Amino acid sequence: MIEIIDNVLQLTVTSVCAVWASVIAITRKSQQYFILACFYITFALGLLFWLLYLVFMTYTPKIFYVSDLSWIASFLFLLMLNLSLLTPQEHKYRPIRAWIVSTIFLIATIFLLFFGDFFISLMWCGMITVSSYFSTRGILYARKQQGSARKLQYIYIAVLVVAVLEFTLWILSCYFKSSDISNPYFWCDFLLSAGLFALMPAMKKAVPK
Amino acid sequence: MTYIENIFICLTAPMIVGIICAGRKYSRAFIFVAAGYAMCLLAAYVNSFFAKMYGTDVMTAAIEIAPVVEEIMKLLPLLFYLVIFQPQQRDARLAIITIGASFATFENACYLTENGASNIYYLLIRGFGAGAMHIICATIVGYGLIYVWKYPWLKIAGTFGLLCAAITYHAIYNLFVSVGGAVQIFGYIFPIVTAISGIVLGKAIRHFMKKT
Repeated sequence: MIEIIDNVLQLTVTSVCAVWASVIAITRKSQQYFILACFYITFALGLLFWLLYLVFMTYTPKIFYVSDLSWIASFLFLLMLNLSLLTPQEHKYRPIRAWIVSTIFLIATIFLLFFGDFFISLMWCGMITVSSYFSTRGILYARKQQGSARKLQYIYIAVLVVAVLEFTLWILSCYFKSSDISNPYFWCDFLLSAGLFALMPAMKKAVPK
Repeated sequence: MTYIENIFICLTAPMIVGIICAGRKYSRAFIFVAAGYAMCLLAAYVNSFFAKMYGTDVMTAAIEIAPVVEEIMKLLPLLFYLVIFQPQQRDARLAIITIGASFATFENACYLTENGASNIYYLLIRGFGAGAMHIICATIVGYGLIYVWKYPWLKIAGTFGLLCAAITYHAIYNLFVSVGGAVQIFGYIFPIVTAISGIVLGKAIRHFMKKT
């Protein structure tokens, strides 16, 4: 039951944000909001399939994870969002701290490869690891800037928070299997829903009208 | 047992005659229809292969394997046309809708030979439902590609993302339809409602864009 509540909450959050981002993308004709809308739409679609499967079949997909494809696509859009915010100067900036953060993510990726489906874990975790590098670099670079360029740090922070929560969620899923509220996996997933929602206000702060 | 190769020959033969007779300008539409049939036939083979490989039942294969295979197969002729011929938006739109509709037609023809054509009400709703679903999936990918390919750096992510969105939509439809009862009827109506809302929303967006 808690899994269904958790998924319904996340689906509501991502669907509302998808509509919100789409409206802004159309009214402002903004490419960045379009990519963010694509992220939310693909994430929500994957979640909708997962939730319906759980409700109708009472178990999760066994053979082929259709939802995983959608979620991989959503994180690919998140990576594209990171890349679309890059400035030429930022491109040349290669701080050691960003490499350290992405190395931690890489270690977590290698750990997760032993648990789930190898190919899907490699694609998904690999993409988030690359995202973590760009986000950390973006935060460090934006904090050195003045004015509107400095505000870009908010979206980078939000993306990094989502990446950290996603990895924590997977690691927790390897150890905690119970389906009651005491399972920390669900608490982390609730936090992830909040993190996904936070992308929108962060984007509004980072990319003003 | 359904002899889908025979159905394929029967349905494609008039298209081949059409391609020969229609002339260069109009033969394109017939080619797209034949391509849709051919992709549906190939998708059936690939589906059966994976279903056998994983040892799944019909329902699991329909929900988890068929959407992935069918959407990838449907994308192939479209991708070929868009990459090689680089058509104008109007021509691309014709290709997208024709391939989607002919794919659904072939699927419906196979369904009829397997299950009979006695229940008109059920066939009516199924015909519209399956048709709308395949056209929506082809539209998600096709129209998306036209937009996304304007930005070279978004090409790979965009193509993959759109394909995944179409696969998931298809899987949701198949899930509804496989459950049976009232959910099945809802499943058939769901793409029809999506198609109507898509048309209305598309017109509203175009109107808004013109205004601004």
